[in-house]
Formats: sequence, C-alpha cells, structure tokens
Amino acid sequence: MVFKRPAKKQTEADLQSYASTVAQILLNIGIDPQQAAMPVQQGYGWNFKRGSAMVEIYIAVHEGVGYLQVLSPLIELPQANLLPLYRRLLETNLQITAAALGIHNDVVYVFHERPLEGLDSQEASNIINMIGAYADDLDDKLVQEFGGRLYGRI
Amino acid sequence: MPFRTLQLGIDAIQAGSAHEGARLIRIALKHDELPADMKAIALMWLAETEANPTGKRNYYTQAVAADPNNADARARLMRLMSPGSVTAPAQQAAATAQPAAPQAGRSINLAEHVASVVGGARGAGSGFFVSQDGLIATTRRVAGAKERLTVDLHDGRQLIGLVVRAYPELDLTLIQIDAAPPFLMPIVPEPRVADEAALYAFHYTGEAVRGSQRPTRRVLAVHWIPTTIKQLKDEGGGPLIDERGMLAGMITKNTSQTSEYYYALSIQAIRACVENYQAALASGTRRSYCPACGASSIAGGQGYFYCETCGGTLPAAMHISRYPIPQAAVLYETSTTRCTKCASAAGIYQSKCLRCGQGQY
Repeated sequence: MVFKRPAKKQTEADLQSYASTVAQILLNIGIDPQQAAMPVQQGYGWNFKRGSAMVEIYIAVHEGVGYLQVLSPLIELPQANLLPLYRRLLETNLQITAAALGIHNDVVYVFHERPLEGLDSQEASNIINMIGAYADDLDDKLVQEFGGRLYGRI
Repeated sequence: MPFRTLQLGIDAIQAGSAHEGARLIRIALKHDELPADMKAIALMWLAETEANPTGKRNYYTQAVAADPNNADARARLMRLMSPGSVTAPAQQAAATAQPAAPQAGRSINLAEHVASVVGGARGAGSGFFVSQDGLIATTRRVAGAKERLTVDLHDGRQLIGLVVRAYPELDLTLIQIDAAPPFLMPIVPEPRVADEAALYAFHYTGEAVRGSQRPTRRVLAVHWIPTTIKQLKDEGGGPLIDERGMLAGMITKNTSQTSEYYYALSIQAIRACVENYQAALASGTRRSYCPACGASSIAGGQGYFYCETCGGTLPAAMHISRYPIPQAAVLYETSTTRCTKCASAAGIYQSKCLRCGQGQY
C-alpha cells in the first residue's frame, strides 16, 4: 500500500458479495464457513486448519478500499539462533511466489493481500490454497531446523 | 595512549594534514610502551610525510632497525638505496601487457602478475597477485558468491581458484591458487594517489584503459580512488598502475550515484585485508569460508551449520539435515544484554528487542 491509487470505494454490499464468494470457496474445499467464521472488529474473518498450519482469511476495508488478506501464523520465534532464522526467512521470501513472510509479535507469518476489486472466485481459491500449502510446508521445516514451536502448539 | 596518538596521526596524514600527522606520530614515538612493530609502522608513516629522500631513508632505516621482520620497510628502504630509483624521471608505463617499470633494477612483466578470473556470476574479470603464496585479488562483483573459480594465467595454465575471503563492503575477494608470481608488484609509497595523477587499469589480456585520478569534492573513504575511467573491457578486478609502474589499487565497476566514473580500491586497503586474512589464518583457529557474506566463519570451522556473521547456511551444511545446536547459539547472539520481556539475547535496537520487538524501559 505504498502507492495510493484512486480505487472504487467498497460498500457493505460489495463486502458481503466477496464474503459469500469466500464462503463458497471454503465449502468447495471441505470447510464449513459457519464453523470457520471468526469474530472480527470490521469486515469478515474465517480460520481453518490446513495440515499442521492455521490459515486465516479476512475481508476488510482500509482507507475506503476493500482487501482480501490470507495469512497463516507459522511458528513462535525461538529464543536463540535468530540470525540464521531471519536470514532464512529473507531468502525464502525471495523464493516464494505471490506471498510474503513477516514477523508480528514474536510470530512468523506467511501473508498475501490483494484488493477485492476484480477478484474472482478462482483467484481467491488459488490464493487460499497457495498460502495454506506454503504454511503447511514451511512451519514444520522451520521448527525442525531452528527450534521455536509451531504456532498455537506446545 | 601512544596507540591513540599514533592512530590520530595516521588519520591526519590520510586526511591530507601531513604536518599535523607527523607531529602526532613523533609524540607517539616518544612513548616507550609502543611495541617495536608499531614503532616501525609509525616510522614508515613518518617517512611518507618526508619529501627529502635522505630523510625518508633515515626513517626507513630506523623502521627496519625497530622491526627487522617488517618486509615492507626493508623493501622500501632497498628501493631508496637503489641508485636513481627515486630521483630518476618516472618511466611511462606502456599500455601493453609488458610495461617495463623500474623496480630495484629489474623490469616487470605485468602479464606475470595478472590473471583472468572466470566462472563468476557476471562473466570474466581480472585479478592480480597480492601475496607470494598465490593469493589473487579481484572484485566481489567478479567472484560473486562462488567458492571456486577458474583462474587463467598468462602462460596458459588454467587453475582452480579457491575463494578464501571476501570483503563485500570493499568489493574485494581473495582467491588462493597453486601458483606464485616471481615477485610482487611494487606498490605506490604514498597513502593517497595525487590529484589528476595518470592511472592505467589493466585487463587480463594486457590491454589497458588510460585514465587519471579524478578530483572530487565528495567526502570519500580513503580506500576509494575516484578515476576518470568509464569503460572497462571486463568486469573489473585488474590492477591500477600509476605512471611509475607502481600498483596503486584495483579497478572496480563501482560508480557514484551521480556519475558513471569507476572507482578503484586502494592497494593499502587491499594489503590491510590480505594481512587481516593471513593473521586469521595464522591464529590457528579453524574457520571456513562463507560465500554468502565472505567472512571466515568460526562456526563453520567448528562444524556448525550457519555463519555467525550473516546467518547464511554454510556450504558444508547445505545438503545435510540441520537442527538447533544449543552450544552454537552463543555465536549468533549479538548482545550480552537480555530483553527484559522475552529474555532473548538477540540484541536491542532503538530500545526495542530484536526478537520480540518490545520496548526496554
């Protein structure tokens, strides 16, 4: 969101339409959208398990523009060995396509965000599957190599 | 105390204040606790401030007397003792592979000192010998993050070159090959190349690009030599020779943000890096080369997986199963201060923990 461009303002009706698209996608991949729904301050949110990873989906408005955010918390940072881990995250960041790795509050996330405008169900489905697959692949590898623990696991 | 004064003196000379630098170095030399090797270095710097050849020779004689093992002082003294070597008009270096340069009575075949370095990420570059035991200097741009390169010598020999150390901040890579030059090229005695002095950047084929030192108002680190050279026949790394046939530095393809002129790395900086590498080697600590950052990794020498300087996975650990090793963790900690919130020793930056991001109050 570095470059601000004029974009169509999202209405509540628009958000609902995109939310129903996401709900349909979740149904298609065997997730009950009612059960997966999360209470969020604004917009819509869902979370579900994908292998060992937790995938979170948000539809939210920021500065008048609606966004689809798909993210997955991977691991809680270990106490030591942070330098090699940070380096690996940056190297992996360059290798993965259409997703980014980042850290927020001691937790490593894989993340994708795009404006809702022009989003179709096929693309949304691809994004959700892609983030889920990255998360499922990366979390175990990172814990095995650098320590720490899987997000939300003991 | 004398070390600090000596350092201030050297800094002053490098900044162009020869008189002030000489004064400070003389003060440092009055202290008895200055070790002999440092005394020799101080005397050599004093010699650099002396225009009179007799005075210069006196300083070098004293330097050799203080530290007989200082080969550089001996070599400089020998050059000065050689009849006519300083006062004779400088012989113009020819832009060919064999510029005959006066050096203690023998001519230099430059081709014997320059090599072609092939196999890097950006194509072929040049390199040149910087030690008698086969160390070759080239640019990091030429070598990239490779561990092995092919080095072609002028006599047709094609050798495997092992990259042993790199200094990315200086765009310098040191390559070890199993060959030695007949002798090392004489290096410029002055700590800085004079303004508008003619310089020749040599390519491994023997061709040279003529240029000169480019005066600039920009504040530059002393190890960079601004040149008027804008085009090279390869990716750089060749020796930069002055009109006396003396080695002034290594041409690189680094430019400033506002001009296309290339900068060279001074031979003094290259020598300091070579000495740094050789000292690490002589210390006996086992190390391994990290191609990601160019460091000599102690962690690698101890069989750990990651470089302690950059965190990159070391070549020996690249294709094996890796796991956390508690004994190695201390190598990757940047601070002895622990975060008050998460207890990590990752380090504190701008009052925030580098691990958890929480403020330290």
